[in-house]
Amino acid sequence: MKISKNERIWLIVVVILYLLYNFPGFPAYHQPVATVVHGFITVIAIWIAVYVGLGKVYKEYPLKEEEENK
Amino acid sequence: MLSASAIWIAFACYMVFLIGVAVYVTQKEKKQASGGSLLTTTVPWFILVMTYIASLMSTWVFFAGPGAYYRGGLGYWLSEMSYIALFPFIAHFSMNKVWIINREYQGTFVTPADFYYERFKSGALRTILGIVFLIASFPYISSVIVAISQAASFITDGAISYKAAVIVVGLIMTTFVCFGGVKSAATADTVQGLVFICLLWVIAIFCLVYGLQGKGLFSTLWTESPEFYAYPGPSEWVPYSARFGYPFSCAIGWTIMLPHVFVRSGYFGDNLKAQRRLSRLTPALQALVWTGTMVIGAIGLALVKDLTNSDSELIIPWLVRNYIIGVNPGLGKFLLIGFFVGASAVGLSTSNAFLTIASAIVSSDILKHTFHVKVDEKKSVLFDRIIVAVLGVGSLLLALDPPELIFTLIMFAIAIVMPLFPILMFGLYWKKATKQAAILASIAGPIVVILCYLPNMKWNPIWGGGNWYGFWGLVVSTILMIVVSLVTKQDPKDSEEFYAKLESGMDRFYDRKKVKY
Repeated sequence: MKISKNERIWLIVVVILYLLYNFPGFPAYHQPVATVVHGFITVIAIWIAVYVGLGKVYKEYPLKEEEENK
Repeated sequence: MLSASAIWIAFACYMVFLIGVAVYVTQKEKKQASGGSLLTTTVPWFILVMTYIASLMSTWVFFAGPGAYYRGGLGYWLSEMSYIALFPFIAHFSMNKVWIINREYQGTFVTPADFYYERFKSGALRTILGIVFLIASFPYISSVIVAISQAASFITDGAISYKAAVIVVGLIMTTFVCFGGVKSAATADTVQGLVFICLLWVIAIFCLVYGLQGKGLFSTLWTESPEFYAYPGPSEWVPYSARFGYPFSCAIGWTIMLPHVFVRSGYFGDNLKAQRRLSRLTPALQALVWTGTMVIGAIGLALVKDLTNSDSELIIPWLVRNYIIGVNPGLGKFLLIGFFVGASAVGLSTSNAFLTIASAIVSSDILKHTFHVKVDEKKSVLFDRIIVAVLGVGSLLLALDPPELIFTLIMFAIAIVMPLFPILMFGLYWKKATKQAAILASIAGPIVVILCYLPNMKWNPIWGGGNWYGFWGLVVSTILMIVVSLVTKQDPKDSEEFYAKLESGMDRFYDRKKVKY
Protein backbone atom coordinates (compact mmCIF):
# COMPACT_ATOMS: atom_id res chain seq x y z
CA MET A 1 0.00 0.00 0.00
CA LYS A 2 1.45 3.33 -1.08
CA ILE A 3 1.53 6.47 1.00
CA SER A 4 1.17 9.97 -0.44
CA LYS A 5 3.77 12.73 -0.56
CA ASN A 6 2.00 14.64 2.21
CA GLU A 7 1.88 11.54 4.37
CA ARG A 8 5.62 11.00 3.83
CA ILE A 9 6.41 14.58 4.84
CA TRP A 10 4.15 14.28 7.88
CA LEU A 11 5.83 11.03 8.89
CA ILE A 12 9.33 12.50 8.60
CA VAL A 13 8.53 15.76 10.44
CA VAL A 14 6.85 14.02 13.37
CA VAL A 15 9.62 11.44 13.70
CA ILE A 16 12.30 14.17 13.66
CA LEU A 17 10.48 16.19 16.32
CA TYR A 18 10.00 13.09 18.43
CA LEU A 19 13.75 12.41 18.16
CA LEU A 20 14.51 16.01 19.14
CA TYR A 21 12.35 15.61 22.23
CA ASN A 22 14.29 12.43 23.00
CA PHE A 23 17.75 13.76 22.13
CA PRO A 24 20.08 11.60 24.25
CA GLY A 25 21.85 13.43 27.05
CA PHE A 26 19.87 16.65 26.65
CA PRO A 27 18.83 18.37 28.81
CA ALA A 28 21.37 17.30 31.41
CA TYR A 29 20.10 15.70 34.60
CA HIS A 30 19.15 18.01 37.50
CA GLN A 31 18.69 21.08 35.25
CA PRO A 32 15.14 22.38 35.83
CA VAL A 33 15.26 25.41 33.49
CA ALA A 34 16.70 23.44 30.59
CA THR A 35 14.16 20.64 31.14
CA VAL A 36 11.20 23.01 31.14
CA VAL A 37 12.36 24.95 28.05
CA HIS A 38 13.35 21.87 26.06
CA GLY A 39 10.27 19.92 27.10
CA PHE A 40 7.72 22.57 26.27
CA ILE A 41 9.29 23.59 22.95
CA THR A 42 9.65 20.06 21.62
CA VAL A 43 6.33 18.72 22.93
CA ILE A 44 4.35 21.72 21.65
CA ALA A 45 6.11 21.30 18.29
CA ILE A 46 5.02 17.64 18.19
CA TRP A 47 1.38 18.61 18.89
CA ILE A 48 1.44 21.30 16.20
CA ALA A 49 3.07 18.98 13.65
CA VAL A 50 0.57 16.20 14.34
CA TYR A 51 -2.52 18.40 14.03
CA VAL A 52 -1.31 20.43 11.02
CA GLY A 53 -0.35 17.22 9.25
CA LEU A 54 -3.65 15.63 10.19
CA GLY A 55 -5.55 18.54 8.63
CA LYS A 56 -3.54 18.31 5.42
CA VAL A 57 -3.88 14.56 5.12
CA TYR A 58 -7.62 14.63 5.81
CA LYS A 59 -7.97 17.33 3.16
CA GLU A 60 -6.04 15.18 0.74
CA TYR A 61 -8.26 12.19 1.51
CA PRO A 62 -11.79 13.65 1.73
CA LEU A 63 -14.44 11.17 2.76
CA LYS A 64 -16.99 10.19 0.17
CA GLU A 65 -20.38 11.64 0.94
CA GLU A 66 -22.11 8.31 0.83
CA GLU A 67 -24.41 6.62 3.30
CA GLU A 68 -21.64 4.54 4.80
CA ASN A 69 -19.65 7.63 5.82
CA LYS A 70 -22.58 9.42 7.46
CA MET B 1 -12.04 7.60 57.65
CA LEU B 2 -15.19 5.98 56.26
CA SER B 3 -17.27 3.12 57.60
CA ALA B 4 -17.44 -0.13 55.69
CA SER B 5 -21.20 0.28 55.27
CA ALA B 6 -20.76 3.70 53.59
CA ILE B 7 -18.45 2.14 51.03
CA TRP B 8 -20.70 -0.83 50.35
CA ILE B 9 -23.75 1.43 49.95
CA ALA B 10 -21.84 3.69 47.51
CA PHE B 11 -20.68 0.66 45.60
CA ALA B 12 -24.20 -0.81 45.55
CA CYS B 13 -25.62 2.46 44.15
CA TYR B 14 -23.02 2.40 41.44
CA MET B 15 -23.87 -1.20 40.61
CA VAL B 16 -27.56 -0.31 40.34
CA PHE B 17 -26.55 2.29 37.75
CA LEU B 18 -24.50 -0.29 35.82
CA ILE B 19 -27.25 -2.88 35.91
CA GLY B 20 -29.75 -0.21 34.79
CA VAL B 21 -27.53 0.54 31.79
CA ALA B 22 -27.19 -3.15 30.99
CA VAL B 23 -30.97 -3.68 31.16
CA TYR B 24 -31.64 -0.55 29.06
CA VAL B 25 -29.17 -1.55 26.34
CA THR B 26 -30.34 -5.16 26.28
CA GLN B 27 -33.99 -4.14 25.97
CA LYS B 28 -33.16 -1.63 23.26
CA GLU B 29 -31.25 -4.22 21.28
CA LYS B 30 -34.10 -6.69 21.66
CA LYS B 31 -36.54 -4.11 20.26
CA GLN B 32 -34.21 -3.51 17.35
CA ALA B 33 -33.88 -7.27 17.02
CA SER B 34 -30.14 -6.90 16.52
CA GLY B 35 -29.32 -9.98 18.62
CA GLY B 36 -25.92 -11.52 17.98
CA SER B 37 -22.85 -11.90 20.10
CA LEU B 38 -22.16 -10.14 23.40
CA LEU B 39 -18.67 -9.49 22.18
CA THR B 40 -19.00 -7.26 19.10
CA THR B 41 -20.66 -3.95 18.29
CA THR B 42 -20.42 -0.66 16.40
CA VAL B 43 -21.24 2.62 18.12
CA PRO B 44 -21.76 6.30 17.18
CA TRP B 45 -18.80 8.69 17.40
CA PHE B 46 -19.54 10.20 20.82
CA ILE B 47 -19.84 6.81 22.52
CA LEU B 48 -16.78 5.65 20.60
CA VAL B 49 -14.69 8.57 21.90
CA MET B 50 -15.90 8.21 25.48
CA THR B 51 -15.54 4.44 25.67
CA TYR B 52 -12.05 4.73 24.24
CA ILE B 53 -11.06 7.43 26.76
CA ALA B 54 -12.69 5.54 29.65
CA SER B 55 -10.79 2.41 28.64
CA LEU B 56 -7.54 4.35 28.69
CA MET B 57 -8.29 6.08 32.00
CA SER B 58 -8.52 2.81 33.87
CA THR B 59 -7.05 2.72 37.35
CA TRP B 60 -4.27 4.87 35.96
CA VAL B 61 -6.09 8.11 36.62
CA PHE B 62 -6.88 7.64 40.28
CA PHE B 63 -3.99 5.40 41.36
CA ALA B 64 -0.93 4.68 39.24
CA GLY B 65 -0.96 8.10 37.54
CA PRO B 66 -0.79 10.43 40.57
CA GLY B 67 1.83 8.14 42.12
CA ALA B 68 3.85 8.13 38.92
CA TYR B 69 3.85 11.94 38.71
CA TYR B 70 4.85 12.08 42.36
CA ARG B 71 7.86 9.89 41.55
CA GLY B 72 8.62 11.15 38.03
CA GLY B 73 7.82 14.87 38.10
CA LEU B 74 7.31 17.19 35.17
CA GLY B 75 9.57 15.14 32.89
CA TYR B 76 7.10 12.33 33.28
CA TRP B 77 4.18 14.59 32.36
CA LEU B 78 6.07 15.79 29.28
CA SER B 79 6.63 12.21 28.22
CA GLU B 80 2.88 11.59 28.59
CA MET B 81 2.10 14.65 26.46
CA SER B 82 4.58 13.51 23.80
CA TYR B 83 2.81 10.21 23.21
CA ILE B 84 -0.75 11.48 23.67
CA ALA B 85 -0.23 13.76 20.66
CA LEU B 86 0.86 10.82 18.52
CA PHE B 87 -2.47 8.97 18.58
CA PRO B 88 -4.02 10.59 15.45
CA PHE B 89 -0.72 10.15 13.64
CA ILE B 90 -0.33 6.45 14.45
CA ALA B 91 -4.06 5.76 14.04
CA HIS B 92 -4.04 7.27 10.55
CA PHE B 93 -1.33 4.92 9.34
CA SER B 94 -2.62 1.86 11.18
CA MET B 95 -6.07 1.69 12.76
CA ASN B 96 -8.00 3.55 10.07
CA LYS B 97 -6.70 1.00 7.57
CA VAL B 98 -7.67 -1.78 9.96
CA TRP B 99 -11.16 -0.26 10.17
CA ILE B 100 -11.45 -0.17 6.37
CA ILE B 101 -10.36 -3.78 6.02
CA ASN B 102 -12.86 -4.88 8.68
CA ARG B 103 -15.62 -3.07 6.79
CA GLU B 104 -14.61 -4.79 3.57
CA TYR B 105 -14.97 -8.10 5.40
CA GLN B 106 -18.53 -7.04 6.44
CA GLY B 107 -17.47 -6.10 9.98
CA THR B 108 -16.88 -9.73 10.93
CA PHE B 109 -13.67 -9.19 12.91
CA VAL B 110 -14.07 -9.94 16.60
CA THR B 111 -10.52 -10.14 17.92
CA PRO B 112 -7.29 -8.39 16.87
CA ALA B 113 -5.99 -11.72 15.53
CA ASP B 114 -8.82 -11.82 12.95
CA PHE B 115 -7.17 -8.92 11.15
CA TYR B 116 -3.74 -10.58 11.15
CA TYR B 117 -5.25 -13.84 9.92
CA GLU B 118 -6.77 -12.25 6.82
CA ARG B 119 -3.37 -10.80 5.89
CA PHE B 120 -1.12 -13.77 6.65
CA LYS B 121 -3.57 -16.69 6.40
CA SER B 122 -1.90 -18.57 9.22
CA GLY B 123 -3.83 -20.47 11.87
CA ALA B 124 -0.67 -20.81 13.94
CA LEU B 125 -0.20 -17.04 13.95
CA ARG B 126 -3.79 -16.55 15.06
CA THR B 127 -3.27 -18.92 17.99
CA ILE B 128 0.01 -17.30 19.07
CA LEU B 129 -1.50 -13.82 18.89
CA GLY B 130 -4.51 -15.00 20.85
CA ILE B 131 -2.23 -16.30 23.59
CA VAL B 132 -0.14 -13.09 23.72
CA PHE B 133 -3.23 -10.90 23.91
CA LEU B 134 -4.62 -13.14 26.66
CA ILE B 135 -1.35 -12.87 28.61
CA ALA B 136 -1.78 -9.09 28.45
CA SER B 137 -5.36 -9.28 29.64
CA PHE B 138 -4.98 -11.07 32.96
CA PRO B 139 -2.55 -8.63 34.64
CA TYR B 140 -4.59 -5.71 33.40
CA ILE B 141 -7.92 -6.98 34.71
CA SER B 142 -6.22 -7.93 37.96
CA SER B 143 -4.69 -4.44 38.27
CA VAL B 144 -8.20 -3.01 38.39
CA ILE B 145 -9.42 -5.40 41.07
CA VAL B 146 -6.24 -4.77 43.08
CA ALA B 147 -6.60 -0.98 42.85
CA ILE B 148 -10.26 -0.85 43.85
CA SER B 149 -9.74 -3.29 46.71
CA GLN B 150 -6.70 -1.42 48.04
CA ALA B 151 -8.74 1.79 47.93
CA ALA B 152 -11.64 0.21 49.83
CA SER B 153 -9.29 -1.09 52.49
CA PHE B 154 -7.34 2.20 52.79
CA ILE B 155 -10.27 4.58 53.08
CA THR B 156 -12.05 2.44 55.67
CA ASP B 157 -8.84 2.09 57.71
CA GLY B 158 -8.93 -1.65 57.16
CA ALA B 159 -12.60 -2.14 58.12
CA ILE B 160 -13.05 -3.71 54.68
CA SER B 161 -10.39 -6.34 54.25
CA TYR B 162 -8.43 -6.33 51.01
CA LYS B 163 -9.33 -9.94 50.18
CA ALA B 164 -13.06 -9.46 50.82
CA ALA B 165 -13.02 -6.47 48.48
CA VAL B 166 -11.16 -8.45 45.80
CA ILE B 167 -13.81 -11.17 45.87
CA VAL B 168 -16.82 -8.83 45.84
CA VAL B 169 -15.42 -6.47 43.16
CA GLY B 170 -14.22 -9.35 40.98
CA LEU B 171 -17.55 -11.15 41.11
CA ILE B 172 -19.63 -8.03 40.42
CA MET B 173 -17.43 -7.06 37.49
CA THR B 174 -17.74 -10.53 36.02
CA THR B 175 -21.52 -10.62 36.47
CA PHE B 176 -21.97 -7.24 34.76
CA VAL B 177 -20.03 -8.28 31.67
CA CYS B 178 -21.77 -11.68 31.59
CA PHE B 179 -25.18 -10.08 31.29
CA GLY B 180 -24.48 -6.71 29.74
CA GLY B 181 -22.00 -7.36 26.99
CA VAL B 182 -19.84 -4.92 25.14
CA LYS B 183 -22.46 -2.34 24.18
CA SER B 184 -23.57 -1.92 27.80
CA ALA B 185 -19.98 -1.36 28.83
CA ALA B 186 -19.55 1.28 26.10
CA THR B 187 -22.75 3.08 27.04
CA ALA B 188 -21.88 3.10 30.75
CA ASP B 189 -18.41 4.43 29.85
CA THR B 190 -19.95 7.44 28.14
CA VAL B 191 -21.86 8.57 31.22
CA GLN B 192 -19.27 7.77 33.82
CA GLY B 193 -16.34 8.96 31.71
CA LEU B 194 -17.75 12.49 31.70
CA VAL B 195 -18.70 12.42 35.39
CA PHE B 196 -15.33 11.18 36.55
CA ILE B 197 -13.26 13.49 34.40
CA CYS B 198 -15.07 16.31 36.27
CA LEU B 199 -14.61 14.53 39.60
CA LEU B 200 -10.88 14.20 39.05
CA TRP B 201 -10.56 17.96 38.64
CA VAL B 202 -12.84 18.61 41.64
CA ILE B 203 -10.53 16.46 43.79
CA ALA B 204 -7.47 18.25 42.37
CA ILE B 205 -8.91 21.71 43.09
CA PHE B 206 -9.98 20.91 46.67
CA CYS B 207 -6.63 19.27 47.46
CA LEU B 208 -4.96 22.39 46.12
CA VAL B 209 -7.15 24.74 48.16
CA TYR B 210 -7.02 22.82 51.45
CA GLY B 211 -3.53 21.34 51.11
CA LEU B 212 -1.54 24.33 49.95
CA GLN B 213 -3.79 26.98 51.51
CA GLY B 214 -3.23 29.72 48.99
CA LYS B 215 0.39 28.94 48.13
CA GLY B 216 1.11 28.51 44.43
CA LEU B 217 1.63 24.85 43.55
CA PHE B 218 4.26 25.23 40.87
CA SER B 219 6.14 28.08 42.59
CA THR B 220 6.27 26.02 45.80
CA LEU B 221 7.70 23.07 43.89
CA TRP B 222 10.19 25.32 42.11
CA THR B 223 11.68 26.53 45.39
CA GLU B 224 11.22 23.48 47.62
CA SER B 225 11.37 20.54 45.21
CA PRO B 226 13.22 21.68 42.06
CA GLU B 227 13.87 18.02 41.24
CA PHE B 228 10.21 17.93 40.14
CA TYR B 229 11.19 20.01 37.11
CA ALA B 230 14.34 18.15 36.10
CA TYR B 231 15.27 14.73 34.76
CA PRO B 232 15.45 12.12 36.21
CA GLY B 233 12.63 13.32 38.49
CA PRO B 234 12.02 13.39 42.27
CA SER B 235 12.56 9.65 42.75
CA GLU B 236 15.09 9.42 39.87
CA TRP B 237 12.38 7.61 38.01
CA VAL B 238 12.72 9.19 34.56
CA PRO B 239 16.24 8.62 33.20
CA TYR B 240 16.74 9.13 29.45
CA SER B 241 15.90 5.50 28.73
CA ALA B 242 12.52 5.80 30.47
CA ARG B 243 11.87 9.21 28.89
CA PHE B 244 11.97 7.42 25.55
CA GLY B 245 10.90 3.91 26.48
CA TYR B 246 7.82 4.82 28.48
CA PRO B 247 6.00 7.16 26.05
CA PHE B 248 7.01 5.05 23.09
CA SER B 249 5.50 2.01 24.78
CA CYS B 250 2.36 3.94 25.60
CA ALA B 251 2.03 5.36 22.08
CA ILE B 252 2.03 1.87 20.65
CA GLY B 253 1.09 -0.54 23.41
CA TRP B 254 -1.36 1.53 25.45
CA THR B 255 -3.23 3.45 22.77
CA ILE B 256 -3.19 0.97 19.88
CA MET B 257 -2.16 -2.60 20.67
CA LEU B 258 -3.80 -3.57 23.95
CA PRO B 259 -6.62 -5.79 22.72
CA HIS B 260 -9.48 -3.76 24.22
CA VAL B 261 -8.28 -0.51 22.61
CA PHE B 262 -7.35 -2.30 19.37
CA VAL B 263 -10.96 -3.31 18.79
CA ARG B 264 -12.25 0.11 19.87
CA SER B 265 -9.95 2.11 17.63
CA GLY B 266 -10.04 -0.40 14.78
CA TYR B 267 -13.46 -2.06 14.73
CA PHE B 268 -16.04 -0.15 16.78
CA GLY B 269 -16.55 3.10 14.85
CA ASP B 270 -19.81 2.99 12.89
CA ASN B 271 -18.26 5.01 10.07
CA LEU B 272 -15.00 6.62 9.05
CA LYS B 273 -16.20 10.02 10.21
CA ALA B 274 -16.44 8.57 13.72
CA GLN B 275 -12.91 7.23 13.33
CA ARG B 276 -11.67 10.70 12.38
CA ARG B 277 -13.46 12.33 15.30
CA LEU B 278 -11.87 9.77 17.59
CA SER B 279 -8.45 10.77 16.24
CA ARG B 280 -9.08 14.49 16.61
CA LEU B 281 -10.67 14.48 20.06
CA THR B 282 -8.76 11.79 21.91
CA PRO B 283 -5.49 13.72 22.47
CA ALA B 284 -7.30 16.82 23.79
CA LEU B 285 -9.46 14.83 26.22
CA GLN B 286 -6.55 12.69 27.30
CA ALA B 287 -4.38 15.77 27.93
CA LEU B 288 -7.15 17.24 30.09
CA VAL B 289 -7.47 14.11 32.21
CA TRP B 290 -3.76 13.35 32.49
CA THR B 291 -2.96 16.94 33.47
CA GLY B 292 -5.48 16.72 36.33
CA THR B 293 -3.70 13.57 37.44
CA MET B 294 -0.33 15.35 37.26
CA VAL B 295 -1.64 18.23 39.40
CA ILE B 296 -2.66 15.76 42.12
CA GLY B 297 0.77 14.07 42.07
CA ALA B 298 2.44 17.49 42.20
CA ILE B 299 0.31 18.58 45.18
CA GLY B 300 1.36 15.41 46.98
CA LEU B 301 5.03 16.17 46.37
CA ALA B 302 4.64 19.80 47.45
CA LEU B 303 3.22 18.59 50.78
CA VAL B 304 5.31 15.53 51.59
CA LYS B 305 8.47 14.04 50.12
CA ASP B 306 8.94 10.64 51.69
CA LEU B 307 5.97 8.53 50.59
CA THR B 308 6.84 4.96 49.66
CA ASN B 309 6.12 3.76 46.12
CA SER B 310 2.92 1.92 47.02
CA ASP B 311 1.71 4.75 49.30
CA SER B 312 2.22 7.23 46.45
CA GLU B 313 -0.40 5.28 44.45
CA LEU B 314 -2.95 6.05 47.17
CA ILE B 315 -2.09 9.72 47.22
CA ILE B 316 -5.66 10.94 46.63
CA PRO B 317 -7.16 9.38 49.79
CA TRP B 318 -3.96 10.26 51.63
CA LEU B 319 -4.35 13.95 50.75
CA VAL B 320 -8.05 13.96 51.64
CA ARG B 321 -7.38 12.23 54.97
CA ASN B 322 -4.53 14.53 56.01
CA TYR B 323 -5.60 17.90 54.64
CA ILE B 324 -9.38 18.00 54.12
CA ILE B 325 -11.25 15.67 56.45
CA GLY B 326 -10.05 17.46 59.62
CA VAL B 327 -11.09 20.88 58.33
CA ASN B 328 -14.26 19.95 56.45
CA PRO B 329 -15.41 16.40 57.32
CA GLY B 330 -18.49 16.49 55.06
CA LEU B 331 -16.50 17.50 52.00
CA GLY B 332 -13.75 15.04 52.90
CA LYS B 333 -16.19 12.12 53.08
CA PHE B 334 -17.86 13.20 49.85
CA LEU B 335 -14.49 13.29 48.07
CA LEU B 336 -13.49 9.91 49.46
CA ILE B 337 -16.72 8.30 48.31
CA GLY B 338 -16.33 10.06 44.96
CA PHE B 339 -12.76 8.81 44.72
CA PHE B 340 -13.81 5.25 45.52
CA VAL B 341 -16.76 5.18 43.14
CA GLY B 342 -14.77 7.03 40.45
CA ALA B 343 -11.83 4.66 40.77
CA SER B 344 -14.22 1.71 40.69
CA ALA B 345 -16.04 3.09 37.65
CA VAL B 346 -13.06 3.87 35.45
CA GLY B 347 -11.37 0.69 36.57
CA LEU B 348 -14.38 -1.47 35.95
CA SER B 349 -14.99 0.06 32.53
CA THR B 350 -11.48 -0.94 31.53
CA SER B 351 -11.69 -4.41 33.00
CA ASN B 352 -15.11 -4.88 31.43
CA ALA B 353 -13.62 -3.97 28.08
CA PHE B 354 -10.69 -6.30 28.70
CA LEU B 355 -12.87 -9.11 29.95
CA THR B 356 -15.06 -8.85 26.89
CA ILE B 357 -12.20 -8.98 24.43
CA ALA B 358 -10.36 -11.67 26.39
CA SER B 359 -13.52 -13.78 26.22
CA ALA B 360 -13.74 -13.18 22.50
CA ILE B 361 -10.12 -14.30 22.13
CA VAL B 362 -10.78 -17.54 24.00
CA SER B 363 -14.06 -18.16 22.22
CA SER B 364 -12.93 -17.27 18.70
CA ASP B 365 -9.13 -17.55 18.41
CA ILE B 366 -8.55 -20.45 20.78
CA LEU B 367 -11.67 -22.62 20.91
CA LYS B 368 -13.29 -21.99 17.53
CA HIS B 369 -10.28 -21.57 15.25
CA THR B 370 -7.55 -23.51 17.06
CA PHE B 371 -9.49 -26.42 18.55
CA HIS B 372 -12.39 -26.22 16.07
CA VAL B 373 -15.03 -26.33 18.81
CA LYS B 374 -18.41 -25.80 17.21
CA VAL B 375 -21.06 -23.99 19.20
CA ASP B 376 -24.72 -23.86 18.27
CA GLU B 377 -25.63 -20.26 17.38
CA LYS B 378 -28.49 -20.30 19.89
CA LYS B 379 -26.10 -21.31 22.65
CA SER B 380 -23.31 -18.90 21.70
CA VAL B 381 -24.39 -16.19 24.17
CA LEU B 382 -24.40 -18.72 27.03
CA PHE B 383 -21.04 -19.97 25.85
CA ASP B 384 -19.64 -16.39 25.87
CA ARG B 385 -20.99 -15.89 29.40
CA ILE B 386 -19.30 -19.03 30.68
CA ILE B 387 -15.97 -17.87 29.25
CA VAL B 388 -16.38 -14.39 30.77
CA ALA B 389 -17.10 -16.01 34.14
CA VAL B 390 -14.04 -18.26 33.99
CA LEU B 391 -11.72 -15.39 32.96
CA GLY B 392 -13.17 -13.05 35.58
CA VAL B 393 -12.62 -15.56 38.36
CA GLY B 394 -9.09 -16.23 37.05
CA SER B 395 -8.22 -12.53 37.27
CA LEU B 396 -9.77 -12.38 40.72
CA LEU B 397 -7.48 -15.17 41.90
CA LEU B 398 -4.44 -13.37 40.45
CA ALA B 399 -5.48 -10.21 42.33
CA LEU B 400 -5.41 -11.98 45.69
CA ASP B 401 -1.60 -11.88 45.74
CA PRO B 402 -0.50 -8.87 43.63
CA PRO B 403 2.94 -7.20 43.15
CA GLU B 404 3.75 -4.00 45.06
CA LEU B 405 2.87 -1.59 42.27
CA ILE B 406 -0.28 -1.51 40.14
CA PHE B 407 1.93 0.35 37.67
CA THR B 408 4.00 -2.81 37.18
CA LEU B 409 0.95 -4.89 36.20
CA ILE B 410 -0.29 -2.27 33.74
CA MET B 411 3.08 -1.64 32.10
CA PHE B 412 3.80 -5.35 31.66
CA ALA B 413 0.51 -5.75 29.79
CA ILE B 414 1.46 -2.84 27.53
CA ALA B 415 5.00 -4.10 26.96
CA ILE B 416 4.02 -7.64 25.98
CA VAL B 417 1.79 -6.54 23.08
CA MET B 418 4.24 -4.00 21.63
CA PRO B 419 6.16 -6.51 19.47
CA LEU B 420 2.93 -7.27 17.58
CA PHE B 421 2.81 -3.74 16.16
CA PRO B 422 5.55 -4.20 13.51
CA ILE B 423 3.70 -7.28 12.25
CA LEU B 424 0.59 -5.15 11.76
CA MET B 425 2.49 -2.40 9.93
CA PHE B 426 4.50 -4.71 7.71
CA GLY B 427 1.31 -6.60 6.98
CA LEU B 428 -0.35 -3.39 5.80
CA TYR B 429 2.48 -1.79 3.86
CA TRP B 430 4.82 -4.56 2.67
CA LYS B 431 3.50 -7.24 0.35
CA LYS B 432 6.66 -9.33 0.80
CA ALA B 433 6.08 -9.81 4.53
CA THR B 434 5.54 -13.54 5.10
CA LYS B 435 3.64 -15.59 7.63
CA GLN B 436 6.86 -17.34 8.68
CA ALA B 437 8.29 -13.93 9.66
CA ALA B 438 5.07 -12.97 11.44
CA ILE B 439 5.05 -16.22 13.44
CA LEU B 440 8.68 -15.88 14.49
CA ALA B 441 8.30 -12.19 15.34
CA SER B 442 5.17 -12.83 17.39
CA ILE B 443 7.00 -15.48 19.44
CA ALA B 444 10.45 -13.90 19.80
CA GLY B 445 9.26 -10.33 20.47
CA PRO B 446 7.18 -11.15 23.57
CA ILE B 447 9.89 -13.54 24.82
CA VAL B 448 12.42 -10.66 24.66
CA VAL B 449 9.99 -8.49 26.63
CA ILE B 450 9.69 -11.16 29.31
CA LEU B 451 13.50 -11.52 29.44
CA CYS B 452 13.80 -7.75 29.97
CA TYR B 453 11.45 -8.11 32.95
CA LEU B 454 13.46 -10.81 34.72
CA PRO B 455 14.26 -9.65 38.26
CA ASN B 456 17.97 -9.14 37.62
CA MET B 457 17.24 -7.19 34.41
CA LYS B 458 14.34 -5.05 35.54
CA TRP B 459 16.19 -1.85 36.32
CA ASN B 460 19.16 -2.47 34.05
CA PRO B 461 19.67 0.95 32.37
CA ILE B 462 20.46 -0.54 28.96
CA TRP B 463 18.12 -3.53 28.63
CA GLY B 464 15.83 -3.52 31.65
CA GLY B 465 12.05 -3.71 31.30
CA GLY B 466 11.70 -1.13 34.07
CA ASN B 467 13.04 1.55 31.74
CA TRP B 468 12.37 0.30 28.25
CA TYR B 469 9.18 -1.66 28.75
CA GLY B 470 8.42 -3.34 25.38
CA PHE B 471 10.93 -1.42 23.25
CA TRP B 472 13.52 -4.20 22.81
CA GLY B 473 10.81 -6.72 22.01
CA LEU B 474 9.56 -4.39 19.29
CA VAL B 475 13.09 -3.98 17.88
CA VAL B 476 13.60 -7.76 17.71
CA SER B 477 10.17 -8.23 16.17
CA THR B 478 10.91 -5.56 13.51
CA ILE B 479 14.27 -7.10 12.59
CA LEU B 480 12.75 -10.58 12.34
CA MET B 481 9.90 -9.33 10.15
CA ILE B 482 12.42 -7.88 7.67
CA VAL B 483 15.09 -10.58 7.70
CA VAL B 484 12.82 -13.63 7.77
CA SER B 485 10.51 -12.17 5.12
CA LEU B 486 13.52 -11.70 2.84
CA VAL B 487 14.70 -15.29 3.24
CA THR B 488 11.30 -17.03 3.17
CA LYS B 489 8.49 -17.13 0.65
CA GLN B 490 4.74 -17.23 0.91
CA ASP B 491 2.34 -17.74 -1.95
CA PRO B 492 1.27 -14.18 -2.99
CA LYS B 493 -2.25 -15.55 -3.48
CA ASP B 494 -2.58 -15.75 0.32
CA SER B 495 -2.61 -11.96 0.62
CA GLU B 496 -4.17 -11.05 -2.75
CA GLU B 497 -7.67 -10.79 -1.36
CA PHE B 498 -6.46 -8.70 1.61
CA TYR B 499 -4.75 -6.10 -0.57
CA ALA B 500 -7.59 -6.07 -3.07
CA LYS B 501 -10.01 -5.34 -0.23
CA LEU B 502 -7.71 -2.67 1.17
CA GLU B 503 -7.64 -0.90 -2.18
CA SER B 504 -11.36 -1.29 -2.81
CA GLY B 505 -12.06 -0.09 0.73
CA MET B 506 -9.88 2.99 0.22
CA ASP B 507 -11.88 3.76 -2.92
CA ARG B 508 -15.16 3.02 -1.17
CA PHE B 509 -14.60 5.46 1.70
CA TYR B 510 -12.13 8.05 0.36
CA ASP B 511 -12.14 10.33 -2.63
CA ARG B 512 -8.54 9.83 -3.77
CA LYS B 513 -8.56 12.14 -6.82
CA LYS B 514 -6.34 14.75 -5.13
CA VAL B 515 -3.78 12.32 -3.71
CA LYS B 516 -0.23 12.83 -5.00
CA TYR B 517 2.10 9.87 -4.69
